[in-house]
Amino acid sequence: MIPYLLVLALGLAALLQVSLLPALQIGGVYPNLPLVIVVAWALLRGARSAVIWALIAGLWLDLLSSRSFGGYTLGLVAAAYLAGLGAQTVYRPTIPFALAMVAVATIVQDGIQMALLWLSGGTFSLPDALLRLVLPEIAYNFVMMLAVFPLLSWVNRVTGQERLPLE
Amino acid sequence: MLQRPRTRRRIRWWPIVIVLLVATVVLLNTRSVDAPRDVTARITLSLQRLLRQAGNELRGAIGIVGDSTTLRDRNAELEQAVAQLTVENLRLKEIEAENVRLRGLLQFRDVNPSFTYKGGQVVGRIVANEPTSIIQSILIDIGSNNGIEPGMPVVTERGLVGRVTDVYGNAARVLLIIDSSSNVNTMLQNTRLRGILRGRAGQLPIMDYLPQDQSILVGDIVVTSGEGGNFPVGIPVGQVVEVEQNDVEMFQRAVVRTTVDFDTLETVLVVTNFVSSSEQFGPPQDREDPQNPADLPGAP
Repeated sequence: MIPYLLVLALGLAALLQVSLLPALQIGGVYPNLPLVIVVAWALLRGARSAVIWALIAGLWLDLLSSRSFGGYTLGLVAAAYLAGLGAQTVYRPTIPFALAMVAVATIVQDGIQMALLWLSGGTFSLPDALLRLVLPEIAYNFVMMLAVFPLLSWVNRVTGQERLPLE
Repeated sequence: MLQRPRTRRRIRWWPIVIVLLVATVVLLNTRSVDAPRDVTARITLSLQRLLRQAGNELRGAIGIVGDSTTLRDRNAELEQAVAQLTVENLRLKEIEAENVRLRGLLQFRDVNPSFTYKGGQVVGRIVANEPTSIIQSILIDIGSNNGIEPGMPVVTERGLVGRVTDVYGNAARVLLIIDSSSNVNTMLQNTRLRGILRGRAGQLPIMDYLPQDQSILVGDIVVTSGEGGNFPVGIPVGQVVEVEQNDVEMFQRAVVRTTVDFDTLETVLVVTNFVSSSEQFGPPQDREDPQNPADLPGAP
């Protein structure tokens, strides 16, 4: 039962990402909820579990988007793996550490999207894209992380240190 | 001499395998996943519509709180603007009446674009965007069941929005003109100078390939030129806000602020009886000719 719930929950996060959050955009920028969830989980449970979450959330995002299939999955998996590696460097992840990791993960995820865009012939100025898209998105993701990290910490406590199905 | 016991280092192969698998899929043609995307759109459209509506209401509520402090000043500004627009409106009505008379005299009625696509518009509500703001496309809640086809132009009352790229049963994907892969043939309304409007991630779009020897002014209006056959002629696109001119370059460029506010876009019109002649969406001979009066709506 729990694996199906996990798939549905990550699907709901992906739906929120494409439907609700863009309505709250400021200056054309909105936060990345699946990325924040995956990074928070990587800090709490490690890379292995987070990469599986990233794979599921990424596939949902790819199904709900129009570009080359797999692009979002690739970005999320890479971000989850890096966040998991980062988590190994600290004894216990704190909120400031979570904010730092989500900043790194946002740069990785957006960097991959921009690389794919560049490969498909899209034009953009890297400094402008960093300044006007990536940095505001990091700020937005900080706010999102402040809500998501305590919530997932609670889920982590409730489920104990036992592995969830699909881990 | 003692040898340090060899420890076999475990290689974490699974992230590498996943990344390689996904990278392989990324390289596949997007068309191959049209069917699963169609199914996903069919299943999730109602939920997406609800979530989007909730988001729009939330944005409205946040906006009301934020705007309350500046409402009085804004009201005074708007009253002044209304007075100016009333005078402008009277002048435009006069021009419109004259225009109608001249059109009748010149028998241009059948080829006038505003008549051509009136009645052929289908309203679609925006239900989703791309997961990241680096890519600018929207999903609308009308699709092939409503007569939507790839290549159809999408507009609002304020101007050009984009073009339909993917069509599902009950939804369609629209590439916005501000996307960095979008190119639109445009011209300056006053001087008729032609250029190509290109979207740029995180920046205002730019009108490129403008001749160096021509004067371009901030405030010039940009409209579609109709060249290339992707859009009807004369749809408002934006206004020049900055001119980038460098003597060593072959062309000058103009930064354009679009007439459509893409941050608050909620509904759009799809022009269903304009036929794109772009080869990307099929050969033009398979479609009706918009310039042929016999093919126009209401023609005998």
